[in-house]
Amino acid sequence: MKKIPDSTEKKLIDCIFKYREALSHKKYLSVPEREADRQSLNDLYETLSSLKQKVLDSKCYLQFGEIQKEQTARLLADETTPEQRTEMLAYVLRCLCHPVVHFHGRSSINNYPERKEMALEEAEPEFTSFSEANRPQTLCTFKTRPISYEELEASREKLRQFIKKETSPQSWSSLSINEAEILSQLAADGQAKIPIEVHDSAPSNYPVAIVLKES
Amino acid sequence: MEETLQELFLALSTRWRQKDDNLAIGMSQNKLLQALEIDKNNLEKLLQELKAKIAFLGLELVEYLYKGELWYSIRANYCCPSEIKKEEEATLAIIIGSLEKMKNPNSAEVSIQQIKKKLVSGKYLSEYQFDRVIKNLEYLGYIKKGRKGVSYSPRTLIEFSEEARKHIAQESQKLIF
Repeated sequence: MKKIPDSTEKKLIDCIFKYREALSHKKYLSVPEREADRQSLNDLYETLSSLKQKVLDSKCYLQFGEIQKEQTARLLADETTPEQRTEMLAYVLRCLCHPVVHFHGRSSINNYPERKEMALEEAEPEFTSFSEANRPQTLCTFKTRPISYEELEASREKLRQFIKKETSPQSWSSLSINEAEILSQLAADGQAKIPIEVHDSAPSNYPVAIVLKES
Repeated sequence: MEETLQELFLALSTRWRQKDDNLAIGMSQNKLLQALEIDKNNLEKLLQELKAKIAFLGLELVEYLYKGELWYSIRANYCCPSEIKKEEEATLAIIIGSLEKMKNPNSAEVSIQQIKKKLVSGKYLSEYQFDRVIKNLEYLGYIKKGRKGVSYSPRTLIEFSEEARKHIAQESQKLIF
């Protein structure tokens, strides 16, 4: 049979639940109301007899502390605009971030791979560790050479002219990987239009193109 | 050996888009084993050596599990701002706040409508801004969309430790209401 709590315990439990509910629903409790509850809890102290009642009494004070913290934070936040609070939250996140390290794509086209054949004698020692039976006569390796700014600009201009002339993306399959990369960058910078095919019902006099622009 | 370490560093600091359009951070163990043509023990030795070398630069090697595979990545040892903007940071903080309240935050999903309601009706962001922010966070690999809503992508779990996420959750509850 379930034991019915005595009046002191009931008051303490009611108080705990009242504050716990207010906290979870972010309900505002006025200062006079909280002060009255604190006063009645203070009066109840004289009647506490068992350990259980003392534990419940401590839990009541814990809930008072929690709600006080919450309402002080709300009071302080009420004085700020949504923009300021967004900024404050963004700052907290920024201060706790350990970002991953990565390299941006732009640097990936600064070197053009250049296929170079070399005789076995010229090869570096690590390439010569073949067995006698399958030793090749020549070795192929990729060497890279740096690309100048002028060269990159010339490639961009060449591509701008190319897409003006060849308006259908189907004819762009002749582009190399590096040229396609530069074209993507031009499109991302809003410097190149990428035409797209639209539904047959669209008016043919109006070509449709995508221009990407970072705002 | 030096050249292999250099290549390994570059491989682990890449990010690329996978077939499912999710952003991959670093490289999976299987891909590294295939590319370097070495066994697991030798890879482990190389990774230990790389770890020791990059520690001087304030970087650390991170291991994480993604789709049942072991992945490696490199992150900064110190706290510093990442590439997302203020609104994106705040929205990510709200998402973290909502997910951390759930039972299994790492795999849980939170409804976009719930986040939208909080931020748009609270006049923190306009509807257009909110949609754009969510798209950017997804594009940059911080969140991924699921059937029920959004959940953490590996990048958020790598860049924000468990303690950091708990702290962000507390702050978001205090500041956004």
